[in-house]
Amino acid sequence: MNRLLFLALTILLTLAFFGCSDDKEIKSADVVAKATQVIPVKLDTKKRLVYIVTDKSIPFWDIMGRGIKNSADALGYELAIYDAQNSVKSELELSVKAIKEGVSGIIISPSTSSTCATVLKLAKTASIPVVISDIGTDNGEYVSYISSNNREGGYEIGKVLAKKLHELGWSSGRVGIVAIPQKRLNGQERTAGFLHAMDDSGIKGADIKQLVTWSQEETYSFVKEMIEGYADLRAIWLQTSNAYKGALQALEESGRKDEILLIAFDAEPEFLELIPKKVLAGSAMQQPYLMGQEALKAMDAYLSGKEVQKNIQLPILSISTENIDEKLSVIRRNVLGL
Amino acid sequence: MVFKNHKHERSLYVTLGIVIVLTVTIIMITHSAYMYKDTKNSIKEQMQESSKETLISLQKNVTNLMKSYSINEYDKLIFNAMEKRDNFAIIVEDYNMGKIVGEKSFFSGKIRDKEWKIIDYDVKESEHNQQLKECYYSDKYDIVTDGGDVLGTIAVYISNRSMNAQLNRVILGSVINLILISLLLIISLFITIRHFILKPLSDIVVSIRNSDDDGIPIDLIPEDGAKEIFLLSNTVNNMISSIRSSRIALKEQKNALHYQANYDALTGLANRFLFNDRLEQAIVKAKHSDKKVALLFIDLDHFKEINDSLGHDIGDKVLRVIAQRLGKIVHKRDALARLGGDEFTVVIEDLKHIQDISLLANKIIELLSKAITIDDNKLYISSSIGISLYPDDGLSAQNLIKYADAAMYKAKDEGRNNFQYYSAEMTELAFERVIMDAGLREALKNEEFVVYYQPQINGENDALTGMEALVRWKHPSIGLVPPSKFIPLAEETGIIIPLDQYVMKSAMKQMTKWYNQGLQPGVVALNLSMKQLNQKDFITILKTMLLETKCKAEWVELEVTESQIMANPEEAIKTLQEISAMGVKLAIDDFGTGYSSLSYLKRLPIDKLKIDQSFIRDLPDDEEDAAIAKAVIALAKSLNMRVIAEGVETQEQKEFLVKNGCKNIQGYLYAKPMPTADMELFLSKKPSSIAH
Repeated sequence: MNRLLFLALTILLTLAFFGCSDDKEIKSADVVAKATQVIPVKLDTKKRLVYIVTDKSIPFWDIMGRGIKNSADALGYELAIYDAQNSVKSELELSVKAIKEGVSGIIISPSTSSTCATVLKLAKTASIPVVISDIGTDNGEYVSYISSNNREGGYEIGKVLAKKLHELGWSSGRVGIVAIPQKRLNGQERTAGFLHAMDDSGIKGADIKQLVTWSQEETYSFVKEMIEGYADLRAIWLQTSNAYKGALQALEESGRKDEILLIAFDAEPEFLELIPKKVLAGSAMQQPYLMGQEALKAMDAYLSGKEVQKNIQLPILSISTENIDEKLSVIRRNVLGL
Repeated sequence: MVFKNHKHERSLYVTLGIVIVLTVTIIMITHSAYMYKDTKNSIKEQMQESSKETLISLQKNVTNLMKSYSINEYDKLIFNAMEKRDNFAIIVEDYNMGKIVGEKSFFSGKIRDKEWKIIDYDVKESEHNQQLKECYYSDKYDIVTDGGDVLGTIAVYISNRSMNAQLNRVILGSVINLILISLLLIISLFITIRHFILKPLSDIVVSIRNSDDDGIPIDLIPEDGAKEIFLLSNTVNNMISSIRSSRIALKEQKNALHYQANYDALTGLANRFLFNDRLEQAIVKAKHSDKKVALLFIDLDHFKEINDSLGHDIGDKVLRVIAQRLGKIVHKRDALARLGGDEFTVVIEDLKHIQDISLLANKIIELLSKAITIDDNKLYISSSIGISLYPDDGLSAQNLIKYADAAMYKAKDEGRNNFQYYSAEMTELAFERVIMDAGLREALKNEEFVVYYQPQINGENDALTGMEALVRWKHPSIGLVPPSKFIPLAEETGIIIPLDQYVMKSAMKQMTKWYNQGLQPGVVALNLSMKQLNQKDFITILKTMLLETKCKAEWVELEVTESQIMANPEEAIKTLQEISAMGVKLAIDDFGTGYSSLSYLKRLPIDKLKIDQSFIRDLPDDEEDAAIAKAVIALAKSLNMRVIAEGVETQEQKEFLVKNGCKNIQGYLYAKPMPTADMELFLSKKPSSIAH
């Protein structure tokens, strides 16, 4: 009896499986899914992004990272920051790592535009979108390139310096430049804008010395050489912010501290004091925090299927003794990320 | 001259053109093929060299960049290298980067797309890998650090596209060169051939074609141009000159033949052939213009004797003089002709008055009868002229000639040295002559000739000394024909020889008979013609005749004329001496009419001189004749010869002759020639007495 009942039940089940309509199939599949929990439920809906930074120890990049993080949090992205620690190898390894992780997008502040091209090439093979935040790339495909308007920034700070030299009656003196490598596009733009302002004001130039190690020592020796080399040297423009101490030391030692103006590029928190004290005549300040925010916004726009501007240039703040108080809050947030 | 139009034959120009074009094309194609192969190898070598150079130059830089993970940098270097070198691909295999991406190698580099643009190489792109496989040439080097670590490889790929492009450029350049050089070569060869060979040849052909009716070029070919052309022109010119010379010679020969065919070589007058033609033309003209034509047939009297006595050289000279004289009278030279021998004709056209012809004929007779001096010999020749008229006498040239000839004979019959117009009777006479000519041989065969004898008498005592045997022809239908009618004809035809022999034999027989009868006929004088005397076997014939007739030699006397002897005196002397040696006497007949050299006369074995009857006729009144007769008698005496006069008809003549020493008389005074029977009677009546 039991055998007959089992047989009848089996036939019935078989008919139910193979002889019924599609609706019945879905239903049975639902049954199975529900029964086995096979269908994964995406619990975390945040898209994962990676910010690869060349050297997080540099405040500029750190501030930028914070700007990115700020926007990621605001827009609901999971962000991982990979610090290459000023190693190309590491930069590439981290890029490969991010690619292999299958992230939704990469924001990169590359060590060089050349390395960036390699990263773009690798990312392209995995169809991962890349936003470049500063430095730029030699080639390759990317979503957007966020940069500062270095030419304009250079020009504006040049005007500030020229004004000061006029006020001091030092217009006949020379101006020396400790420049970031001129191979870099941002360096070229920066120098060109500044020299333009010098030309406009009729101020003669001294040497342009390019940084290699970016160290305080290097800046010190460059500034010293120029002070010794040019008796009529009236100003030095540092195209960086971090090595200002080397420059100050050289000026101090030369005994011509009061005869030579020092202006900088970018900012260190100390600048908020040094400028009002006129130790520094001023600085052209990029806005890394803002750049970071903009970079992530661009990535978000891309991932949301919106149109993205290929090149986004952000203004550089031309800060001098005269306007530092006025711009302080902007400087603190967008420049220093405080 | 017809020049064949050789349309179907290929011209030299076309043939040379084909040869040149083919040769140049083959050479240039061969050259291009060689160039192509050479260039291909060269390009291949260049490519290999270039790829090697590319790799070597890249190797060091890439090593450093690879060490610093500067993938994009070495990609840039590769891009630049490819831009410069036109390589198909340069692929870098990076082991360090491979480690980073978690694979053995990281492949990077550049490759060309279909438009030959440089793009990134994608190792995962199967098309890229396939293209690399299909590359014509590739070269691969390891990237090694100074420390000997192998960081990767770098490979250069060269597709045949660049080589083909280069080769295509070479081929295009080569084809353009080929065409240009070929064209240049062909054009220059054509121009050269045309200028130096074909044009000169064409000029030669044009010159040769510009020919006269006989196909001989009118002008010589210009002798210039290349050596071979010059030689050809020169040879052709020589040939043309040679042909011209031969043609001129041929023409001269033709003219000479024409002249010979139409003109008499001796006198330069028209010959019988041309004369006939002219006469016929004159008749045609006269027929149209309704005018008369007169034909004068001139025959020289006794010309034969000049030839016989003085030789043909003199005779020919005489004929030339006659021709010249006729030329002076007959101004229109075309009207004159010499038909042969001593026969001349004059054709007078547009004749208005018959009297004019008579005047002309008289003038001719008068002029021709004037003395002719040849080689110191003064000769007198008379002429007989027969005249026939168109259309009065005859309508055809043949008839006019026949009638003029007949009239001429009439003039001869009329005693010569006169002219006669043709009359119908003359035709009959002429007919007689024809009959006679045919009948002479028949007569000889039928023994129609009979011998008459005319006695020769001693004028002092009227005693018979001998007789002259004279031939007569008793024609069965015509009757007795006088010797003047048939002797000249017999001489012309040569029948005189058997006739003479017949007479001689008959006379000899008769003499033997008379002597055997006891009669005293004396010596019989027999006329000997020149032809007879010239017979080589005459001596034998004479001897045989004497033997056969049993006639003694001393009963016979042979009469020869002066002219007979003088025609060939040496030969005559020889023959006559033989005759004389036989005992046969010799006499010179008609002495005084011919020309006798005294020196020969002296050497001749002559027994008797016979004074011609022309000197006797007017004796004794004519002083000249009397003087001649006396001189001949004196000459005979001085040469110890006897003398006889013939044609003595009167007593006065006889007395004069006898008185002057010529006692032997022959003539009608004593007796006419008489037949044998009468002579026999004459003998039997008069006792003969032979005077010695």
